[in-house]
Amino acid sequence: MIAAALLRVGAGAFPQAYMVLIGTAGAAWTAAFALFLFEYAPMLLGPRVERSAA
Amino acid sequence: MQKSARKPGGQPRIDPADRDTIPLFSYGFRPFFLGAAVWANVALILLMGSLAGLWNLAPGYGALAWHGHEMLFGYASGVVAGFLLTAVPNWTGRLPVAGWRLALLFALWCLGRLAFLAIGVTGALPTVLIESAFLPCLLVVMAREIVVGRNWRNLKPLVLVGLLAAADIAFHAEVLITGTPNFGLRAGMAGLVALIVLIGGRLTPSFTHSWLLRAGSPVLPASFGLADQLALLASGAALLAWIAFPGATLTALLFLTAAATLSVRLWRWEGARAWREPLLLVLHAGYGFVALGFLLGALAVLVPGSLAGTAALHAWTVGAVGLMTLGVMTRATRAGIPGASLRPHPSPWRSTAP
Repeated sequence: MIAAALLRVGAGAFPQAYMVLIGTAGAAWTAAFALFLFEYAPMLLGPRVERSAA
Repeated sequence: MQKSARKPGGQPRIDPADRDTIPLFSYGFRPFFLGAAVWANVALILLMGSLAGLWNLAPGYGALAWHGHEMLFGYASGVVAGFLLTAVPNWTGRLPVAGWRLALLFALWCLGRLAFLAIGVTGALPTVLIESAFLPCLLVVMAREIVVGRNWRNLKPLVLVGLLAAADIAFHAEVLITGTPNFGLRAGMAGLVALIVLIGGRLTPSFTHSWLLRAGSPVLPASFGLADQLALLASGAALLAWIAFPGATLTALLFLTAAATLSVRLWRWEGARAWREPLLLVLHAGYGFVALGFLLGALAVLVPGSLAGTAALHAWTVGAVGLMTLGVMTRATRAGIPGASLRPHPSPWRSTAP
């Protein structure tokens, strides 16, 4: 996510590489949220007391 | 919340709010964090595809206006809704908005996303009417809880949700009349940045404090003082000036003041001692991006041509909003669901700092 933010801001500072930086920023953003969903979507959907034995 | 969900013997019990509802609608953060995280990716992939010429996004509205709107008023407002719907009961001591009322509110949020995506079919005016209904509804639900619970200390977040609701309507009006969002975009952005400055400014030092305490650190984050008050005032003044006069030199100077005072505030939280904990690093970095966004915004005005397009704006959106929402969603999901967290994390819903 930090990479996505730096890349997207960097895209404004280096216009010659704009499209590459935008594309990489988009990929980093998507990866961050995909990881979040992979890890936490089951918890958000599941019952409150799941894994309570841990 | 973590404490109240366990009996003294340490045995988990089912929360009363869960008894009559399916788990997804037992607390506001569950449907909204899930929906928002899905939308963060779907909306971005839709934008990238449209930039690559694969499809035509939001015909008649404009792909970039759609993107800006859906990130601010779709994704970010969804996270704000999920957070506040869960935090407000903790502030007021009342039962959370759950069950069918929460499901209805979430359905309205989803309907807004879908209708807006299909704007070419549903037509511009019906779409924006459906889409802009969500934030005022959230405002009414929150206002009712805060007024009935006499929780006047939390009027500030309520006012900011009101600003978001008004900005959403202004955004649509400007795009439909002039083709580009102007005041509406800035007011929405300012509302989100202010929420981060305010609520991120409560959560970040509070979590850092408990982590450093547990780690046996001799130095703890400074408690709320004059430096924090100055940072809040400077940020508020800078954001108000920006909504009205984005290109003015005075606004740029206020931005520099806000960047400086926020950096001091962030420094006082001793984040450098807690960077090893990812759940803290993300909050400190997110808050740092608020200050960076102010700095870059000032730079873009004072040194014309130094930054292309919306780079400064994206320090706030991807940096501050992206990091802060992801950090809070992760922590809240772990802390809000007993047993989901392997290490004890303080609940993000309670916080005592101003």
